[in-house]
Amino acid sequence: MRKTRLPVLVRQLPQSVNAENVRVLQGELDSFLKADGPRLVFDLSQVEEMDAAGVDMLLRCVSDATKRDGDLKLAAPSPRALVILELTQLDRLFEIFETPAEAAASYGVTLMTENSDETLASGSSNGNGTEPGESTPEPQLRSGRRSDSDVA
Amino acid sequence: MRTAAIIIVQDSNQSSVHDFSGAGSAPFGNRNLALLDVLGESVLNRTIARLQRYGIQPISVVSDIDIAHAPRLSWDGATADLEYTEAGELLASVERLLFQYSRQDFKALVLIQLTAYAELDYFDVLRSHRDQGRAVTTVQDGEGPLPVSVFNLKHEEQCAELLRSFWNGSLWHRNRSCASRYVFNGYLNRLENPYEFRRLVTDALTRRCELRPLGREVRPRVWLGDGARVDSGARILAPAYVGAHSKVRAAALVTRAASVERNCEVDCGTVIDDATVLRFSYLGPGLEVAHTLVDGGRLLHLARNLEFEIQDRRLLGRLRSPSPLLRLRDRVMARVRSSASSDVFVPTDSPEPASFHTAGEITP
Repeated sequence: MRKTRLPVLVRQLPQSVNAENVRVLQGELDSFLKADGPRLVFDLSQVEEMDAAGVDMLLRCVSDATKRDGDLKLAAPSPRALVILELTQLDRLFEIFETPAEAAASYGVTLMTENSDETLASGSSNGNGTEPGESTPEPQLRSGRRSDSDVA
Repeated sequence: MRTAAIIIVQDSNQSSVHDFSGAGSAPFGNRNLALLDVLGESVLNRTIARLQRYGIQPISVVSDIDIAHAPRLSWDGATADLEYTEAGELLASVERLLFQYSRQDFKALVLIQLTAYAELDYFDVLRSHRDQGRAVTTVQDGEGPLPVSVFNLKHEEQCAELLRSFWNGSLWHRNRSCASRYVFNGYLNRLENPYEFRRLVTDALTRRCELRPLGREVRPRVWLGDGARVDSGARILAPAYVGAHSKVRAAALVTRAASVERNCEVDCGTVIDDATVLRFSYLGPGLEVAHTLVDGGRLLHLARNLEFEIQDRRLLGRLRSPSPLLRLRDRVMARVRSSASSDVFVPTDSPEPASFHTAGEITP
């Protein structure tokens, strides 16, 4: 019997990921991260600033998610966000995709569009999800810890 | 031939004046890069040392930046006279000095607008100037004119007129008959942008130019400045430079022509790869700083052409500016160095590999 999994949560992070925003964000994500197999995608396209609290939050989220057999993937980092990820070496820890759709697809989920009734990953914590599909496209931007080249 | 020199240090963007004295950092593009340290010493100080080496004395520096009182700029008051003036008064100040040197019976004046690093043979430049017998000799390379010229001080009124033409860039247009050219084929870095600044660092560390790091070469192409402290668990891979009084903590790595200028701190596990860290910068633990210029919290990623400031001292930050006492000590040390025959142009060859990791160890 197949076990129903939580939906993939796609969350766009604000322009400034600092101590103040992190508290709010963490509060919003807490219940999701406590469920079984939480699968998250953080859309970093708007992120222009990130301090150590933001870095801590990413680490805490991925740690909480993986403890419960879930994962956190990053998508569409802005140029500044990408530099910060590289500076803090988080680019080696996370799988990073060019778009949230690709990140969601890596979980085997297709992002719902206006004309699509396939599957869904929500922009907030209230979405519905489906089981992973059969095909999983390769990440375009970078594949962090799952990359064969990194392992080698 | 009795020769004096004037070095003009101009700040095209007034915002960078505040950068050198305040806590914040102006964008790299707004700065006169010749004032930033390159492997322990600024291009300004190196240019002064070079002129002295060729026996050109006295040297006056005319600037609209208060170099002497800016805490993060190194200025050795013993080597040249400094005149701080308003931006609009620079030409008037230079003119006044030109008349003054002319009346003191100097035969020639080397005028340098400090915007580039050039390894000029001033003997050759002065010989060419004398042989051609013109009122002014300008220096140029294959790409165009350099901001260096030599004036004949015999006729001060003519010199003043030529100076004004030189200043507004019309010398060759208006005074062609009075001017001659000296073609330079040596090493030149125009320092027009941070990329060229970084190239100067790599060229020096890889010995593509005469510029030598200020400090001891403790291993082939690894230099440490006075009082630099490297933890025994840190690695410095050649070519690399760690400036005076900087600390590199455990498990840190400095590699691929990376330079850490004086009074910096590189915290545990941080990697500095093909990057330059400017004075009084703090790099937090576990970072990877690659293809980058760092000045306090300001970061310019050269590969991505992206510059921004990180407002979190746990990642990047500005260390406390030097106290007046520390600056005094630096000046005394600089004076001692200059009196004990300049080592700026001569590579040191005193490798002490055995003591490299132990002598510099940081006590917990």
